[in-house]
Order: sequence, then C-alpha cells, then structure tokens
Amino acid sequence: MASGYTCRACLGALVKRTKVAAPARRAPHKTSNLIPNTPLRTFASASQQPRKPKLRPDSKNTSGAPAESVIEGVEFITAPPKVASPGKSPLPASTTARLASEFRKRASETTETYIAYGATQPLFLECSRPGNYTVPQIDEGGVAPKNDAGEDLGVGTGWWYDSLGLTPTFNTWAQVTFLHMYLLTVRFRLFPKAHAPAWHQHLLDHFFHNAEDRMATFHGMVARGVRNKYLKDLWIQWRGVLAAYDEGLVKSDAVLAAAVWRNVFKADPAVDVKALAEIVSWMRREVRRLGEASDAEIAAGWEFKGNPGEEAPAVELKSALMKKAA
Amino acid sequence: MSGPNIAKHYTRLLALWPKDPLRPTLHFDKVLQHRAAQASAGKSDLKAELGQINAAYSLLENRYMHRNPTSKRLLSPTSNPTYYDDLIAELEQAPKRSWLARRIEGWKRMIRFT
Repeated sequence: MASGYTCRACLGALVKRTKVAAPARRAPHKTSNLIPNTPLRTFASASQQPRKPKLRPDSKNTSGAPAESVIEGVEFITAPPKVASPGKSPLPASTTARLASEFRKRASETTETYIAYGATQPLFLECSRPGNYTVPQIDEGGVAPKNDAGEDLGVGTGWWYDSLGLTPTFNTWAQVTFLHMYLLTVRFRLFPKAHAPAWHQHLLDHFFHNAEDRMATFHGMVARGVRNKYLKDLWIQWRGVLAAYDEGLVKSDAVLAAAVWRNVFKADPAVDVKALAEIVSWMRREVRRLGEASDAEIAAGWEFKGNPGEEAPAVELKSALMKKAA
Repeated sequence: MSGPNIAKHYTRLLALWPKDPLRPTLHFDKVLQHRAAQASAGKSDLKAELGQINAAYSLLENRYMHRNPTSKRLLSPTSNPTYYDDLIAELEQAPKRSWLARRIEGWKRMIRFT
C-alpha cells in the first residue's frame, strides 16, 4: 500500500481483535495534540468542501481557508506507526505490526483514494508555490493590468520570476506548476499498480480546481463556459507536457531542454540557454531525489529542494565538446 | 578572434543537435540560428555568448543525465513497467502515419469491443 496509514475503523477493528491499547500505537504523532481525534475521513471531507477564493495579496494560494487545516491534517499520513512500546501490549510487537499490515492490505482499496486526495492537496500546493502569483488590483475592486500580448499581469516572487525573468501570468504559473507536477507524476508511477491512478488523478484534480479558482478570482472569468474552454486547453497542454518531458527524461538532455523551451518559454528564440541547462539539471536532480525517497515519505509531504539557479556552477563547467571544436 | 569562432560553434551545434520529426515547426535550431544571427550582427556580448554556447554543448554531451542518472527503477515503474518503452515507440511511429492511419488509431482508442 502506497501510504501505509490505518484509518480509525480499521484501527478499531484491530484493537477489538488484538486487545492492544490504541493510544500507544498513535504515540509518534505529536500533531494529534493540535487536532485531537480528527480521523482521516473528516480531514478528507474538509478538503472537498466548496472553497471560497482568498482575496488577500499575500496569501500563498487562491484556494481559501481549508488549506491550512489540510496541511496540518496531512501530518497523519506518515510512515506506518512504530510498533507498540514494550510493556504496553501482551503480544510481541512484531505480531501486531504484521496484523496491522495484513488489515491494511485487505482494506487498502477502499481507503487509498481518500488518502490520495488528502495527501495530494499539499503536494499540489508545493508544486504551485514556485510559480505562484497574485493580482493585488482585485482587492481594490479593479481588474488585472494587461501586458503587450494582452495577457493579465500578476505579481510573483521567486527564482522563476526574479532571476529567470518570466512574466507572472496565468499561463506561466500553469507551465511552472506542470513542470513540478511532472516530477511528482514520474514518482507516482512507482506506486503499486492498484493505487497509482488515484494519485495521478487527484493531483490533477487539485490543479484544475485551483486553476479554475484563479480564473474566476484573478481574471474575472465569471462565465463557466469561458473557464471550461481554457480548462480544456490546459488539459491538452498537460498531456503534451507529459509526453514531451517523458521523452526528454528517457532520451537526452538536449531533448528535455527543447521540451522545456517549447512549454515554459513558449518557443521563444531569444531564450537564455544557460537557464535552460540549469532547469534541466535541476529537474534530473529532483527526479533522482524523488526516486530515492520511499512511497510513505512522498505521501507524507514533499518539498522541492532549492531552485534551478543552484545548478549554475554545474552549467558553467567548461564542456569537452567545446574544447574539441575550438 | 572569437567572431568567426562563435559562428563555427553555432554551425557545429546545429549539426549535432538531435532532430525532432514530431515538431517540425518548433525546432530548437530556431534558438541557435537566432543567436548566431545576433552574434554575426555584433549585437551580443562575447563572454555571455561563449557561456551560452558552453551551456548548449553541455546539453549535447548529456552532462546532467550522467550527473543524476535516472535509475532503472524509475524507468521501469511498478504501476506500468513498459510505460516509457511504449511511449518512445509511439512517438517514433507517430510522424510516419498517414492521415487514414491516424484516423484509424483514433477510432481504436475510442471504440472498445470488450
């Protein structure tokens, strides 16, 4: 099972069967003091409530209040609970651990999708963070200013906007988020066959909910039809991103760089090739880091380390091919 | 010194860059040709240009693939071990299909008989 978490119902059944003190099994979760007795089901249903858009310029996402409680709630999705403390259980610790994992195996189909939905919410927010932007004019009752190309201009910080110089528009946010979501998608493919589709789907669902929120809040798209048109376009872009980055991952750095150039930089001929190389290097580094993490670590939450700017020393090394040519 | 050198570098990069039959209108050569034109017109800074050329060479020599190789486990994922092989095969097939063959492939995806 991808996440290794036991829900309260399963836990209750286990306690009845094995007469082990339940609180001992949950001892490692310190955050249970913050949110006492919050089972995973209420946590999952909280994130399914309709979200009112948050209109403060310094908010980290547009999805509204439940984000905070969701991030706290996800502390429950950690590695499988440690075995019961000695002296508290009449049975040997390994027997209870074995019984717990047996039960998880049997009930995993039912519970996995709820766990996936909850866990992918903070994962998506982490993907959305680097390219995040806001439109401060909305708070003052105005509309977003437009750039020369007619796109709504926002305000964003971070490497992608400050160092790389991308313009904070909806499309830039979508493409930068796609890049990060792609890295997670590559990792999700390593989940068990029965569970991987749920994880892929829920990550995408969170993205599309957030995208629609942004369209309605920041870009004044009140009509559902207009939003749907752009969402369908985004879906096609995502499929293209998947195919292109997968091809690049397998084939070579040059192919991956060309894929990033086409998607993130919109095939701009005046692109900074050094920055492209930094992004490719960073992507490969993160894919490797993700591959080295366990399924439970991913489910518990993931943080992308640093930004592509850190790869600059690797990019600046003199190339052997260049010396040969000169 | 580096004026003709830069032009030589770009010619070599254009020759070495992998071809992409799937996206004929969006080839990375556009970038290399644009930069070569800028350099020959004298509009670019020498040091910066050599940095860009070095970055392009680093991509060609797969430096980042060697520094952070993708493990076999990642390339043969548990949930679908043949995913990447199937994808590459499909991407290789796609530009060679005729209009009718593309239509039939679309129908195959839409219609299920089982």
